[in-house]
Amino acid sequence: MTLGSGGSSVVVPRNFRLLEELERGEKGIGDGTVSYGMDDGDDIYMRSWTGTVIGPHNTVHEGRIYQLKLFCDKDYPEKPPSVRFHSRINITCVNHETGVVEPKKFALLANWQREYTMEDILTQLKKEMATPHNRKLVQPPEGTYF
Amino acid sequence: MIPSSTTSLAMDDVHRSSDSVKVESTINYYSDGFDDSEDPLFLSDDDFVGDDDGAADALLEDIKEDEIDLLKQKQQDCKILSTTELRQRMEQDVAQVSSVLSVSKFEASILLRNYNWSVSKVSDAWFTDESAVREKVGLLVKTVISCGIVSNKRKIIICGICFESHTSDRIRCADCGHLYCEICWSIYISTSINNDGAGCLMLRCPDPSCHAAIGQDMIDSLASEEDRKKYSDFLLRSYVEDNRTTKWCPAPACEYAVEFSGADGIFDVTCRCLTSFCWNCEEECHRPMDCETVRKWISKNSSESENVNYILAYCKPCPNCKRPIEKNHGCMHMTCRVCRNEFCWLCLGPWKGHMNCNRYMERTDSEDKRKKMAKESLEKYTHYFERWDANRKSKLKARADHQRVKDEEFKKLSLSQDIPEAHFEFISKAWLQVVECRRALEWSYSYGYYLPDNEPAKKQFFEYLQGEAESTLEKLHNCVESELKEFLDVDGLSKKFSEFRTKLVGLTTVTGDYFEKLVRALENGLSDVNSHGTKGLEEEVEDCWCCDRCTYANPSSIRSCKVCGSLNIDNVNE
Amino acid sequence: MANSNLPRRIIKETQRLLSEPAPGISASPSEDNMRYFNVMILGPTQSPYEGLGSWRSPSTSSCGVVETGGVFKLELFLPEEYPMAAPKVRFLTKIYHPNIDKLGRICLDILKDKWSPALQIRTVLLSIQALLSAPNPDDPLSENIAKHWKTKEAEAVETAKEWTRLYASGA
Repeated sequence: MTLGSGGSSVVVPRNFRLLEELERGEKGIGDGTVSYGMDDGDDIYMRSWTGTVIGPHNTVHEGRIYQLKLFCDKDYPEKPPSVRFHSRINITCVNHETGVVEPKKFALLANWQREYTMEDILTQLKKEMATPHNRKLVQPPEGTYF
Repeated sequence: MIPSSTTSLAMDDVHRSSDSVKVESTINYYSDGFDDSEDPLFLSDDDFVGDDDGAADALLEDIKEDEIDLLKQKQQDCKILSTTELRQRMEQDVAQVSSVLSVSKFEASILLRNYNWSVSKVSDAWFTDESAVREKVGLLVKTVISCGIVSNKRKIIICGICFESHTSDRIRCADCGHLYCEICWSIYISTSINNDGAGCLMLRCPDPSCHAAIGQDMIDSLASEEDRKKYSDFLLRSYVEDNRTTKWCPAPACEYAVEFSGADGIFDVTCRCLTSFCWNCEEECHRPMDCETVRKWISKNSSESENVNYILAYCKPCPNCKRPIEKNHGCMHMTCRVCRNEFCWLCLGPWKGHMNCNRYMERTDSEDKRKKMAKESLEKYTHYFERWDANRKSKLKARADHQRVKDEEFKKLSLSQDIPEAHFEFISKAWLQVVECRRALEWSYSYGYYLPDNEPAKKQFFEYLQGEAESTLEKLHNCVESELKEFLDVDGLSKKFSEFRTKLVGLTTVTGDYFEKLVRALENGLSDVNSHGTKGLEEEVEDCWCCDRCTYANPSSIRSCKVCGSLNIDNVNE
Repeated sequence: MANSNLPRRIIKETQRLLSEPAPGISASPSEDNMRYFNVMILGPTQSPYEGLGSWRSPSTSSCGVVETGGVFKLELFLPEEYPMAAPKVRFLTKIYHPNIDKLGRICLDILKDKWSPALQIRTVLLSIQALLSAPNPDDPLSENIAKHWKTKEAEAVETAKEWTRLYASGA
């Protein structure tokens, strides 16, 4: 289910939408291979987040723990958050120099809709790691960062 | 020989106890209906073995009953209730309160819900202080004003929730007179039914200062059919769960509830779905252990699990040839396929001459004392846990075996022996007895673990009873597991088969007796042991002899076994 | 537009909030989302959250005029299920209170299980104002503040006053 949609004309404002996402993240999502939390518990505008993705099975990423930084600006969720990998990774949609997930190469960000959530981004990135063109790429050493 | 003395004790006890009513219901559990005194086959008549198939067959006709009927017989303290029966009971209780208190059925239902569905508690409280009860549960005396407003159909009223104007015929209220439109009412009710779980049964008027209860009459007239169904399911669940005398059967897919009225601290019940559980703590049946110790034992097992993990492995090396052996039968008598070595699964000692290995031998090495004690405490725990766990697995295996035998082998047997399947009830009973005894034996090992070390007499008595019970059980288990196989493929009603029946029936009864004795002794805290020692144990050694075939202890005055009719070989030889 | 099909109840509540505001409380819907309200609550007198200077009865205009402190900004949202579900409210101004956490979330029974559709935005805001007068450290949202409140109340009250001065100046 997508948070804050409900299929009606009711629009959940940014802050309440982020509070919903925060509570969902605190409860824990699915099998735990994707998680996220707020960086600064004092930031009333809930801008900086850290996401974690555990690499999917049967790929070179299996068992690796990837950390990401997500930044939700004032225009979230009308606009997508900026997303970049903190842990080094080699997949096609991630800039090799900066770790930024490039919207042009990652459809979810390119075709962003306000119903999408940070969970959707992380889950989609996990799927991305398992695609044929990503699953066997040579990876930087574990534990290195951008 | 030690055994005979206590066996005679056992007999005395059983005879003594069957006089009292209290024991009837408890005894039955252990012997699985065998001691039903109206069932002549299982009376220990001296001559019953004599009459061969004719009489026995006739008797078997009589026993031919559903297992359900057996359960009904043996569980007088509890009643299994289907959803339909539960609804009927609930309606009866509501009707009773309604007529005694002169309130509507809806009000009666609200009252009962607030008092754990106890008719007597409701009426006690009501007749003590009616207005306090009304206040507590939200039953107001109907207001005349509100009804007046509602009856005037032309009047326009603004709903307190949606703020829309409605004609008064679209407006509803509870007994408090707070007016809301039908649409808001139905959304209000639906929101509660779908979000508050059983909380919807305690629904009150939306006005925050008012706590008038919303009864089923309002629900029925305002909620959708789907919501009404949910509400009525919540009501039934409350009837079972809030009621102090009923509980749902804990089996996952089972819809029966169990009503329990027993006392005496014996809580074992069996549902119509054949799940047995302790009514008090909802764990599986654990006689002779009490619920508190069971809880301790289970939590100990989970905290010790790392230390004893190796025990859970299904394989052990053959003590002779060291090849790994997997245990796939229920009884502890193992035969290595490779070297034909026979040994006991538990102590790995040779089976020949194997008596009992249930006794925990304390080591007397003189090592560093503390280290030794720590090691011994783990060793002690491991000893008991291993046996507890082995019997548990053996129980589950026996349960599965019984099912398989009923489903597959009875047919084969019926063909090969030319006997109707109904006549194999005695085999079923033997299996049920095995399951029941494995279960009791399982818990007796947990009991043994908690037996204080400073009461050696009790410990000795306990180990004695347990050893006796265990070795008869091994015989019974082996008999029903292995000896039956011989008849599967052999055609014709062999004389051997009727001998087998006699033996199995005898073993079943005897094993039941031994376990009844064991369980009852443990349940009363081994209080038969006087604190000075085990004198009572050794006194009557000479007065009994143990039947070679079924191990029944007979008074030495009798020459053939009371149970299976075998002659006392020692006696014959003389 | 997001505000089509706005239930009559919400329209009526909004009109009344604007025309007859409760004392010390202002609430006005945001322009692009009629279910989203900007709220200001004045810290009640005799509480650590009151304005430090002497101030007159608050103006009814939506912009706060009290500059001496004790002006708390909140945001309120009416979810789709409203009024069957409670409004969502939180403080935007930092506040030192045992029932309010760092993100401004409020622990108040009528916002949770005690919600009733007969309650309104006005009653919710009045209850929040009352919560400022009567903190309840036995049912805390911020464990640390509640502990502080229970062990050294005077000191905790001082901190609350300090925070009011620092963050709730209304500027």
